[in-house]
Amino acid sequence: MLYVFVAVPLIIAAFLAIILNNYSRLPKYIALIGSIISLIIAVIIFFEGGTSTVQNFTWFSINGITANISFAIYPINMIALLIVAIITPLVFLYSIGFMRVPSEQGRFYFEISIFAASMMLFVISYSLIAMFIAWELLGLMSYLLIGFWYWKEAPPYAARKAISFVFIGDVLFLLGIIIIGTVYGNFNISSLFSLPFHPQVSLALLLILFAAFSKGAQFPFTEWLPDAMEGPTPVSAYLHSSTMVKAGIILIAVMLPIYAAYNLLWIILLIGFLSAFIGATNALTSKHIKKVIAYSTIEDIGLMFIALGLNNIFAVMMLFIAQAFYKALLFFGAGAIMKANDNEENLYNLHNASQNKVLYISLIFAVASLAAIFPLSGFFGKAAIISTSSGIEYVLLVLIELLSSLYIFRWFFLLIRRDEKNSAYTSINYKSISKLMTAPMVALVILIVFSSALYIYLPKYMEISPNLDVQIPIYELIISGIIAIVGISLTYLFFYKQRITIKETHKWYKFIYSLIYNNIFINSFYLYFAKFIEAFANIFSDFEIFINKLLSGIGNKILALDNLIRRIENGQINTYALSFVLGIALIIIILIFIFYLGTLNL
Amino acid sequence: MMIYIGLILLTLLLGSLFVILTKEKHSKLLGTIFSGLALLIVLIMFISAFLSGNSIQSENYGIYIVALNIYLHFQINAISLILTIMCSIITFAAIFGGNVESSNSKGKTLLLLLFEFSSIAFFTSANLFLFYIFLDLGILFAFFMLYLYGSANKRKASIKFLAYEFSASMLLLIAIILIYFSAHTLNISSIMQNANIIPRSTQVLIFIFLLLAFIINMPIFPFHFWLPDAHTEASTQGSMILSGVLTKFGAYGVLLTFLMLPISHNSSIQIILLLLGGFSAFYAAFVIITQHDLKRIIAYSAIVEMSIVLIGIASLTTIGFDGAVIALFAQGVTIALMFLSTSSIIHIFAEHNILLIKGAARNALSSAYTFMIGIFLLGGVPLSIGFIGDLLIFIGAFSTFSIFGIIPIFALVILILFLYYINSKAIFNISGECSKNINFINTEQEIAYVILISTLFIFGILPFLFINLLKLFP
Repeated sequence: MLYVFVAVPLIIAAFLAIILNNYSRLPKYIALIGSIISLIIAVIIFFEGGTSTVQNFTWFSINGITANISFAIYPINMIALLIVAIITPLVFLYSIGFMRVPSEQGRFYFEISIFAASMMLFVISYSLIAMFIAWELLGLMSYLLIGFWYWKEAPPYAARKAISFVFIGDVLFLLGIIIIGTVYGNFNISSLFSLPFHPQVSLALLLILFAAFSKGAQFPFTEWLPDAMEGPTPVSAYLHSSTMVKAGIILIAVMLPIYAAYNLLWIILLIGFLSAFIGATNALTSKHIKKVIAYSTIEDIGLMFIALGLNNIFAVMMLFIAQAFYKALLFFGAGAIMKANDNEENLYNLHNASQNKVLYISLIFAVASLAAIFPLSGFFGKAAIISTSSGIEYVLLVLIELLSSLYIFRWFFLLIRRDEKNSAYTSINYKSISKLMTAPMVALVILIVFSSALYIYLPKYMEISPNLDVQIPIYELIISGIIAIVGISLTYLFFYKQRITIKETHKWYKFIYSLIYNNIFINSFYLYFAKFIEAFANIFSDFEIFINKLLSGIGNKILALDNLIRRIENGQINTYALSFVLGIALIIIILIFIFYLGTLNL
Repeated sequence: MMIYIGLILLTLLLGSLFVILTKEKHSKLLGTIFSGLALLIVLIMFISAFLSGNSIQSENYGIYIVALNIYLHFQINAISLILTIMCSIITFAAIFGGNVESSNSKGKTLLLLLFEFSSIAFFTSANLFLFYIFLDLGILFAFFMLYLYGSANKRKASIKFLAYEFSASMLLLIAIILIYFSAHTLNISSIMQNANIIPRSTQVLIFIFLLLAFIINMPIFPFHFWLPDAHTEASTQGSMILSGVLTKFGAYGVLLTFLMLPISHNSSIQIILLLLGGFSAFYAAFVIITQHDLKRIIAYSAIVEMSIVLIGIASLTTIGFDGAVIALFAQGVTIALMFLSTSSIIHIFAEHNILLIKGAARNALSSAYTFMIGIFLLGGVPLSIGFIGDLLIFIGAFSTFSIFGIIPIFALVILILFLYYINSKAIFNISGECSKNINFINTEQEIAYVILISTLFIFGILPFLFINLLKLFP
């Protein structure tokens, strides 16, 4: 029962923060305390253990359709809840060090606390309508947070891009809910499990699947996430690690047995692979420090969808945990580096990240975890997926692994390059990075290391049947080692020592680069789609203008007619007499005509 | 003995009398007091109806025309109660904080009170005779609001408005005469009960006339040409009541038509209305993309919303009907809110072209935020009443028309995405040079924002307030 209140401290903290906006020191501590209380509640729920009963609250019921707000705790969402609850205080702590604008404190902590609360509510809710409420709140809050610095040039546009994709996803989710509600008469997830097959439900499931893709920035909707970097760095860290993009994963993970029953897993697999490739290749070519990590998120979420497509819920949750920690840490590091370099964003202009030892060492852990180096949690997350795949899927996954090893070490080596010219200046900056920003990083390093142990405990906790093979074969270890070594050595030579240089003007290089950097088919598709809509709009608008002109034209014509008629009434007796005679003649003609018709005996 | 409606109407008439007699500077205060009183009585009526579980209340006041057997007869049911609440909240907010231009407050307040009087009387009238009279009265007061206090092109726009609306009322009059001579009564509830005695061919004729009349008023695609001009040229309060209340007359009429005439329960009529509503929604959404006038954009978005309401009605399911009523409430208040905020932005910067407004958020922060919240509300954000309305309408539409019923929601998507575009382009984009503010926002207007927004969220978080009421209605 306690879990219903898990988000309440954050909601209270959010409203206190906005009310106490004038005391610029207070909101941050209020939000931090709220998040810690939420964490404590989450931990208590975790140790209470077991699957709880579903808490149902009837919101409204109308003519055979009941809308319940339901909450429940079961292994999958318990893990997700715990991850959100752990990441939240760390992000808030980091924000205290990062957000130095006193006037905007209240607004920032209000938005981010509501964001956190809605993610928690989303995670614990167990009816589609409750999920949808939290889902849409997440979208709106991300809109506000991405556009937080609205006095800058880019954020309003980035926020619009994000909300455009997310809103389309929301509508798809709503349509899915509408169909399920109409078919089953309620919106409970449990009824989806228990009630019989219905062809319309497969459509609804497909719509909900694409809604999940939109939140997770998967294939047709990838474009918003890299642009969402315009938000403050703590927001990016939070968005990419445990909230927002993970919401789609949780939604599909909860309903995975239904997707398996309706034979829809192949779509999840397909889109997962497509997005993972888009993410990995773009991460390899991007020059923006945060965008590399953002594209890497698209890849990670793609990998999770692949695991979902393989119906391997254990691998999903393992990667879910591992990814949350290393991705948050990478963003924390990126934010700190940018801060030390006067908000420079180009990777090639950033240097000397090794001057702050805490930052340097924690980044090593994050990068190694992402590159799946044994024995960090990232390795276990990715190994769990690979070990259940076979054939072409296996080859593709190894390829993705190689790509991710390459892009992340490229990122890392570019950042720690020495630049002797500015060494003294950056040294002061790096040394003065706030302890409030490095402390959460250290905490995340500890979590990255120790969460590997979950590989043993998680199957028991999730009550996964023992026949699922969670053993990692030895060749897997070797392959991952080779991939890591290839990634490290290549990028070391290319980007750190710069021993080998690529001729950027070579035509093959240019061709491949443009192909993978620009996301060619997605962007041009959206461009053409927008053109198409615009063309339609122009047709309708022309029609509108035409009709308006026509109507006023008719009005003018009637006025002209009036002018015409007026001339008859000219007061001359001759005209009147003439029209009198003509009228009589007309009547006689008509009478004769009628008489003639009568004689025909029709 | 329930005398709520009489009390409300009397309050509003007294209020307008007082406003006539007082000086200019006191008129707004008096108007606020009397419309606030009316709102209070409406809310008491709502609470008592909700608690007693009996939504249908009837009130008779003396004999009016003996020959036609017409009483001054008012009746309130769930639908008219919800629309009455909407009407009184919008007019209260309009009188209190809607006079953005701060001019002619006496005349505007008087017209607003009279408009509220006639529209509440219209929503609660129990026979078609009063229905017709108060409809025309409402149109007349709205016309004067537009004609006297509108902006530059007010004459053309108001005449256009009057031409459309009065041709609609003529059609309505013909339909009413037909009903009287075939059913021998004008009482709405007795027509509902004995509509089967009307011959089938006459019913078809009546249905066509009624539908045409109300669709012009709503307005739906081929008859919407009066709306953008009227809404754009009207003063702030004018566009608030025009879009918030007056267009609901038509929707209420369509609802009544479907409740009165058994012939309307026909699948081909349903499909025609679905096509009409769907096309109208997409048409308006596409036309919006090419518009640059801030108020005109909001005016077209009202057409999108009304088309979706029409689809809910066309589904002919209880859920679709209830959804339509709830969506009418939500949409009325939301559009009034949008007009208030956009008019305020236009007034503050003396500019109505979205390409020329830049960074409204710097100098008109509360209006900018209200505009943004308005977008959320138009998109049917959960926990607002608009979400319940949209949800129920599309459940109804899906259960009747299957997949075709839910396609029109993508018109809403186009609309909302375009509004987000405006938001990022014109409102929340304050890098570099921003528009200079010529006027300032006043506190009353900000309170009006709060009233309208909180109304939507209160009823949205507690949707059973309306839903339980609607359940009592057959």
